[in-house]
Amino acid sequence: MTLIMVPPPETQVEHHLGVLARTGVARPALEDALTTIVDAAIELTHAQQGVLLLAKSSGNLEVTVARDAQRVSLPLHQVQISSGVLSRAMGSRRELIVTEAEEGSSTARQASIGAPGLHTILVIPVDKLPLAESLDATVAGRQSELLAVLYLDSCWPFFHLDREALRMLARKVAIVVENAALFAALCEKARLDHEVEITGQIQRQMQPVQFPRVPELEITGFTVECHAVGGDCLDVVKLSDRCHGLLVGDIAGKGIPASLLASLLQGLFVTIGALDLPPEEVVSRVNRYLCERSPEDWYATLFYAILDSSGRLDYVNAGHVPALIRRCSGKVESLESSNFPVGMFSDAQYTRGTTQIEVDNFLLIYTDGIPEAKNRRSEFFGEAGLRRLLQEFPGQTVDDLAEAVRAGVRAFTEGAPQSDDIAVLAVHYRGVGNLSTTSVRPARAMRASNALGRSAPLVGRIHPTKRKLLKGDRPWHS
Amino acid sequence: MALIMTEQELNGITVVDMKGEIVLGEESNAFRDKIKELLMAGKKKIVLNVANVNYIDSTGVGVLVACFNSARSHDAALKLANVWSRFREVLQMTRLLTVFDTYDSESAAIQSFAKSLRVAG
Repeated sequence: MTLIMVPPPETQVEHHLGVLARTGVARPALEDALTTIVDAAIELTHAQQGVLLLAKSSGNLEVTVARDAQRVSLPLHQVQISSGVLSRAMGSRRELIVTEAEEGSSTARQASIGAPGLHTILVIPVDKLPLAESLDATVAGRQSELLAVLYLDSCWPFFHLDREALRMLARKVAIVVENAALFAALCEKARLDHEVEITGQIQRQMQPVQFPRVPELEITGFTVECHAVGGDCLDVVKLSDRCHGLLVGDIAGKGIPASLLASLLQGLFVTIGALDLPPEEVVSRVNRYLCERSPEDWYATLFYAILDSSGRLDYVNAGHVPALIRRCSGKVESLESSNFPVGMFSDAQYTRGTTQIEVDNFLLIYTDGIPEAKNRRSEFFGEAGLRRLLQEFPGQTVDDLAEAVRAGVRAFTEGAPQSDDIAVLAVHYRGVGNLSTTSVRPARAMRASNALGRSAPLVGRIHPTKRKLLKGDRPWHS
Repeated sequence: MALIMTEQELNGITVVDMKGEIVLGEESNAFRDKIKELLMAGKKKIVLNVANVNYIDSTGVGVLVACFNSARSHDAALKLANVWSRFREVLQMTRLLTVFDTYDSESAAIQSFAKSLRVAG
């Protein structure tokens, strides 16, 4: 019998750790890293064949890598594992060496890899490392999570095998396996982030780029988004030569689900609004449709109005923040909510309000990202702040008003990060026959860049938002 | 998870003390699961003490409504105790104050069940 001289364990382990480190840098894929692990284990133990089984979330072990001593991959479906030896090792959660002398003829001669004459099996469980060494003492008796199993076969006994070296190798490979899994998770996140970005681009491209231009109305709006996609929506639709439908909506939740529902909501209003129905009937139909088709706990608040060329405004405020009208005197009136949000109760009844907008009045419809904008002292901008801004507004056009709102909130938040998306729709009624005394300028496109530096396309966009109902959110930043 | 819920039985009424946030994610899911668990266990009288809920977002409100609807379908009653000012404003704006039974204290909410029995009787 040939005596195999084994180098000191720390030398062996560091050598293989170096191999793993170099390989990890050059070949970050999990499968490549695991292949290197098996090769290293074979070389360390002088085994003839090695198998790595990964623990799945189901609790089963799955053969992931199978290699021979010549560093050739073996077909995974042809690998045979001694279930008895594996079970013994799993039961003790310690490395196990099974030789023909110990096991007799039954277990060891199951020919675990299928090759004749192989009769020595080494099984090394690889456990997840504790967060701190002290956990070993504080959670005595509690088994760590099993990450993988190294299964090594040899046709001769594993003489002079240093178990401490094997434990060190298992410890090191646990780091590699966990790091590889983390890297795979990062790659998946990057892929999902990219898909979200694409979704946001598609969403923005679906929105109108211009508002209707008629003599009696001047309309503009803007949004400032928090994320790539989200759930604020606004739109203006010409219903007839005399009437326009105005919509600002705020979908509960955030991310892709909210953005999908925002698109649906906007499409519903454009379609149903064109049926020449009163606003309460439009909202009611939208509500019934959404209750039938949307998730159980989903809903949206919205302000929908039909503005006639005579200045008559018929509106439905469905659980939304109040729209504001600035009169020529500087007085600010609010159009409060008196209805349920849509998507909550299928049998909800909606009632409309009516008011008259006079020449040179301004109408402001917005989402709660404005009043819930917070400064560094955790103070909210509030509806009061918005009313004050409107009262003191000296401008004459909707562009002036929209810019005043943006600047006012920006100044209030003092550069604090934006916590919610913002949507604002501003209307200046100039009267029939253009009785307005203000200078007439076409509503120009307004650009707003968000905290991430992305320029947000303007009016009619859908933006992600998470409707904040209570204090404690991240402030607004433009 | 930033939401802790503890329950206790008081004369056949289940009181759930809630502490933390009811927001999108684990918290709202846990809240929904808790109410579902109580309803499946046959609880018919549930008081949610929200005194220590310091934050609820739009998703949380949606889950609250869904829980209310579930309770209704199980012939159960869900009541809110210690609804504080900002929370109440939101419930008012969304007209949910006309749907939820809200009380200024846990004891008032519990007593309301007894009054309901007397009225029914």
